[in-house]
Amino acid sequence: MKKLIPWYCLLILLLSGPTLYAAPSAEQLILKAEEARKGAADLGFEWRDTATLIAEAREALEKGHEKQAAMLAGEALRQGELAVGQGTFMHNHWQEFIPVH
Amino acid sequence: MKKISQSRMFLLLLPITMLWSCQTKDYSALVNKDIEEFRAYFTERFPEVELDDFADGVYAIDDNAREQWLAMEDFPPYSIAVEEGQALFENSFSNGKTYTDCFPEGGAVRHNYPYFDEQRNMVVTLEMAINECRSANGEPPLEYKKGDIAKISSYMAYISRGKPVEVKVSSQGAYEAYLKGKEFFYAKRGQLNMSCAGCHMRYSGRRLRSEVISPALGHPVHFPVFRLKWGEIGTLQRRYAGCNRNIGAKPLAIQGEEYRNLEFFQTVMSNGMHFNGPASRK
Repeated sequence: MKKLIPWYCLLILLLSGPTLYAAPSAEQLILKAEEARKGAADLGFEWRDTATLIAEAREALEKGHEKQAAMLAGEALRQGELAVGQGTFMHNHWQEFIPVH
Repeated sequence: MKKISQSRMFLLLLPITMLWSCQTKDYSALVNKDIEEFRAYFTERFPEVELDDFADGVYAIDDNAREQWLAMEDFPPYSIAVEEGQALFENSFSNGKTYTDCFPEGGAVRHNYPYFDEQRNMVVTLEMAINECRSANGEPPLEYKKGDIAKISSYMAYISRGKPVEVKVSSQGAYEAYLKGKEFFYAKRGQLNMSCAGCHMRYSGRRLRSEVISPALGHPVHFPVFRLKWGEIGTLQRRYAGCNRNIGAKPLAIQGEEYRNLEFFQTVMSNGMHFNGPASRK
């Protein structure tokens, strides 16, 4: 019986692996994307299409198109995060971009 | 004993000296240095162009486009907007008053805007003042981008032609607003990671598809403009929103703090030039 314990542990790990490392759901991605979009907007650096992508992701999710919704929300999240990075960087470094004559 | 009293005296005088130096900070000198550098960038880039000619935008630097523009100026497409603007300006509000009760000199006050309102601690633009005049007289505000407000603004710009740009930055509040506008102008944004300066300084005079990019110097002095693309007259901040959209950034609120500060900064950079709006552009 004692010999089987490691095997049981391994079995549990294998079964729980997909649950532990599952990709975030479309709904989670939408929430994250919205949070990132708001962060970018607070900095005054929101990108043009982020809100549209989030709205499209929500619509796709309502229609039951989980995969498409996740793809759209993932792109919105990427944009939101990049915009936050851009805004944060620019607030601290904008003077480096003054062209010199 | 003597040493202690000296150090005490120093400690007493330090905050007073600091306060004095803060109060007497020469904001005009700081801004004038910026104007000098900004102007030098363009005068070195386009040495054949006179300062006031930069008010003509891209038509100051592109001979071919200038010829077409001058031909168009024989019957300028903004003239109808100016006429309609005059009629709107002279119309009485429901309380019997008119815009002349808000604006002196019959409305020829384009050169007084934008300015920094010390009491409200904010930049006030001409379009904003038009709407404030309406609100003060019980009228609903007009939409900011185009339509009647752009027509009234066009008329006021037209009768103010030739007046010098003399925007003052003489307080800490004004300087902070100016700096915010300056930051907006130079900070890259949007999906294309571009700034106002990126296009209208670094790439001014170069081609963007079929169009030559205009220099930033003098941008605000010829607005409002009748853009052929719009097919109507529009305000400077409408153009800001369009520019932001073009580079993949979400446009900010028209007449919001960011765009007002940007307009303030850009107009300060045009100090010494003369208002020549409204104008026609592609």
